[in-house]
Amino acid sequence: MSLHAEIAVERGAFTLDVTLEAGRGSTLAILGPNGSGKSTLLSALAGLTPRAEVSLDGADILQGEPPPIGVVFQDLRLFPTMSALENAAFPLRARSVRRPEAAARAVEALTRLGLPEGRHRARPRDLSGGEGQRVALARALITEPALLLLDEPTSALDITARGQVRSLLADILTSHSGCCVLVTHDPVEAMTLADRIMVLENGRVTQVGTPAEIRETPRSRYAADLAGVNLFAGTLTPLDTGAGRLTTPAGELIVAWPAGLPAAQLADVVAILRPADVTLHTTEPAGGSARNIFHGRVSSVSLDGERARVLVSAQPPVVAEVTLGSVDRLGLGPGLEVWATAKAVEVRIDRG
Amino acid sequence: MTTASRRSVPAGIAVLAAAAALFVTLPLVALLVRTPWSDLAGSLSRSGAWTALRVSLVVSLAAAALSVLLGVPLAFVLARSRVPGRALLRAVALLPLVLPPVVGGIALLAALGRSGLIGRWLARAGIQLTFTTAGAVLATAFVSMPLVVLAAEAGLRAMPPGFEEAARASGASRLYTLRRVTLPMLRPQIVAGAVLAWARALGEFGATITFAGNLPGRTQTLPLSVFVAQQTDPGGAVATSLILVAVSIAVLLLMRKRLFAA
Repeated sequence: MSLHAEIAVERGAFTLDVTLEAGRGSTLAILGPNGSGKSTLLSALAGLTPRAEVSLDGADILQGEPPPIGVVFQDLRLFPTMSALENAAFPLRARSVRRPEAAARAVEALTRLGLPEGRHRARPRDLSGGEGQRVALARALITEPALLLLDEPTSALDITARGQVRSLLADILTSHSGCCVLVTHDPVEAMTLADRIMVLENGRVTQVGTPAEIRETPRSRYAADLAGVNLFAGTLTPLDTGAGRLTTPAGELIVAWPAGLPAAQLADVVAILRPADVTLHTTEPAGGSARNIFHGRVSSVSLDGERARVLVSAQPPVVAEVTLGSVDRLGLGPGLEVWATAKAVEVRIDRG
Repeated sequence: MTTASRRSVPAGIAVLAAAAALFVTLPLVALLVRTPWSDLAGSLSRSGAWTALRVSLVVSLAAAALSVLLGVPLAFVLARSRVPGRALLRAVALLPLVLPPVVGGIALLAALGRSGLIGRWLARAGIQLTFTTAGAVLATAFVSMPLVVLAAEAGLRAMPPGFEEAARASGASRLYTLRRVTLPMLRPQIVAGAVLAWARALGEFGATITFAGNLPGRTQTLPLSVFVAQQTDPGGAVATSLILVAVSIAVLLLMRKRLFAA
């Protein structure tokens, strides 16, 4: 099913004017800062704001009653008077599915999403963040909606639960046959879960592209600062005091150990490194405090105003942001042998 | 050490607080002292207290139910709708809280009495409300309904809108959302309003005696019975009052968590 939506909302001085497309089975992330209109866009897609046209395969779905939509809200909004099971079964009951069948399907959905059967009777206030997220996902997915809407699905979770929910989401999105629109201000969420990213700033779309395109050639300052970051996903293991090793398929990094996290191996961890925090050297650096030294050749240099983004094909590949002066001074150009360095404290574990 | 200094109360305030406590306790203690304990059952049955208790329970429970049935929808309109004159509507709806109940009774007579605005049409249809238990229920509900409206409206205003949006986005109709999400979430406030309304109904005097009269077994509730007994049988009046005190204390104890929640 392919999604086509045209949304125009005016609220005082703020106008939101967005046309979006998403292919069958694909995930589109709407990435934008606070106040960019993300929430308004999500409400419109969910049919909660009038004056939106949302069509799937050419049919206006908001006219259908009830619309084939599932939503996971940022604050979950699980009904506090119902158990986890009743929450998950709610969309079926609202569609007049009989209670025993609705309950059986809810049990199945919750179990598939990893909520143990012993927790099905729990009230939302007794669920942990990760458990609540699973119930909210079950509620959104139980009708097998043609359009799944996710609002910052991992931002409220702690680092352990975040990794689990992120890989759970990745699995769900792979098997989900409908379209998914993910609204977030978290580049990690967008980069790790979406096939394509739409950058939304002040009610306007400033860029649409694959995560790799946005990372390598961001077209706005916001995109460069937030989306244009180096992203590494892998397994975190304790190294020495205050440090850990992040092992990714493309290479290893030394990172500062996140405060408050017990020293034990942790899977599905995402770390970000801002290109501006990466230093480039044309000779092998020695005796410095930077523990990450990526050795490779410059594969591309793209100019963006007074700055340049330099892609270094190392293990793992990294993007560095330098001034135009440095490009001239170091003679940076494709093929040049460089050492890119970053201190362990500059590699940040997923906003933690 | 800061805790200790913050917890201490200036002497002047302590004296006034003690006076307040005494002011409330003394009459209750006096009531206990004056109660004819040796012949309690006798004085209760002589003054018709048991009949009055039965009328009181029927009238107060029916009035509380009527208050919830009509007061909750009114609270929805006041909290959610944008009808013009909403402020005026709220003022009118809450007026019985401040209006002397006797005035409420007179107003009800003017509307529903045998020669009243609507009452004369009802009388023609053979329906009489004055001097009936139904009339006593109406008079009592007139006074107690604002308490339900207040509680339910406050609950609706404090409810985050997100849950109803989530229900709508989950495919629920407006009615299903109301039935399965809004009303269950509003339940604590409706219960608190209903209990307050019931307690208020149990003590209602002025509107009932004005509109429904003072007929033993039909409209004579406990407060009316106390007032009548006071003229002829002071011991019976004290004994009957004791029932009301006991019921009131029981309500406060049962509801203390709901009413005094931080």
